Amino acid sequence: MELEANRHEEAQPVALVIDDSVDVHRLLRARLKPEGLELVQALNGPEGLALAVSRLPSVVLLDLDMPEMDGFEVLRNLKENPTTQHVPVIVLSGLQSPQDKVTAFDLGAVDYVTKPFDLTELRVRVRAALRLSQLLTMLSQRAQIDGLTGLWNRAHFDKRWPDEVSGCVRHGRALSMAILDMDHFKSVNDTYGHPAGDAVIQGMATLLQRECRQSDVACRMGGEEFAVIMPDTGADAALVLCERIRVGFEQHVWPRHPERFVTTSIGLVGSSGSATLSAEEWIEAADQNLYRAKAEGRNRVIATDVTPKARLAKAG
Amino acid sequence: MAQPNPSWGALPPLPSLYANDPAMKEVVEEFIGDIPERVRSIRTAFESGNRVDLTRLAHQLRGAGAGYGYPALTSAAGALEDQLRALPNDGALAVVAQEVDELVMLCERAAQGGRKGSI
Repeated sequence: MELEANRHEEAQPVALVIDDSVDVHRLLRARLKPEGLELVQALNGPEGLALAVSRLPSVVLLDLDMPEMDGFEVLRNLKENPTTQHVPVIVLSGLQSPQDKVTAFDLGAVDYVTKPFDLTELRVRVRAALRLSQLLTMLSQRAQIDGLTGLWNRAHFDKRWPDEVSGCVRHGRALSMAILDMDHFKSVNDTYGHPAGDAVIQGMATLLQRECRQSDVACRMGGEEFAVIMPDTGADAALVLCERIRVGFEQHVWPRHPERFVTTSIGLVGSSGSATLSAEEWIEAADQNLYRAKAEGRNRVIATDVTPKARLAKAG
Repeated sequence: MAQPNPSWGALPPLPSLYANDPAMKEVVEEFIGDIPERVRSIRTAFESGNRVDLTRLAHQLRGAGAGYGYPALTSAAGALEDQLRALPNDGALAVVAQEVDELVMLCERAAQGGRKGSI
């Protein structure tokens, strides 16, 4: 499994151009081609706003003087929408008054280029805006990465999980999610000290990174609790993965304390498609399975298949 | 009035500054292909007294001309746009006839430059 941050850096950045002039689209298409950008073009404000939400561009080049919805209105909408508010916007405009520039910057533009613009200058300004966009993306991802393990943190899980469940419900896709909690972790801390406890947590993170696939999302939820989201994976396949994690952790030899083994209990809920659970209900069901795994002796996986008409509850 | 000027034929074609820029060849050709339609639109707007359309067309050429390698088009379109914006609301368009002529002439010369394979 790799952190998604790496995948984002490799993707071709999207530049959205919102301008009612076909000429501007043509010229930018020719001049920005060497920048390795995917250029997405809109001839009016409403079309541009829709594309900004659906394509989430790395930079927006926005004309101010457009009929119906002018560029100021488009800019206001972009900055008021949580989905698009951090996308850097460069204003391209024939309006040259200081007041227009002040208004554009006040509304959240990062740059203002007057028409007719020098295309070489525009190219370097676009590069600067893309650097800003990459830094903002990195900052936002760092805020969702757990400092001790490098896994995604609870904030990322809370943001990501509802999206995965709604995708599963809407498109009938398979989905599984497991909650893992180390057994008797407190005694590790009490016996060997907190640095040893940290090493055990990091050991679990390393194991998850090794066993999970590229598409899986492994998160540290806090303390000794972890969660793994497994998109496009039914309960049976998820159970195989969870068993591999459970056994791999149990068999791990801790370099400084080879006499000690640590185990984990896992509550798993999965569906091969058409699940009807809400995100909260799904978490609650996984928590109940985790509780059962603890109650039935720990170091085990309790799984529920919530595919309609599927058999219920199997234990590993 | 902006009528066809018989002296245009004597003026040399206007090549794009980007005639030798491979990255620009395709878009300059597209621009040249659009010139007859733009000239028709400019004449129609002028002759029908449609100030809004004429201002928009001048504004577009002002912004784009230099980008395609025709700074003279940007200057001429800019002069026309500035004149139109300075006109009183009830001002007649006849006062910008010379600017319209100048712009149309440059457009025609740019089209000729393209047709002669200058880009």
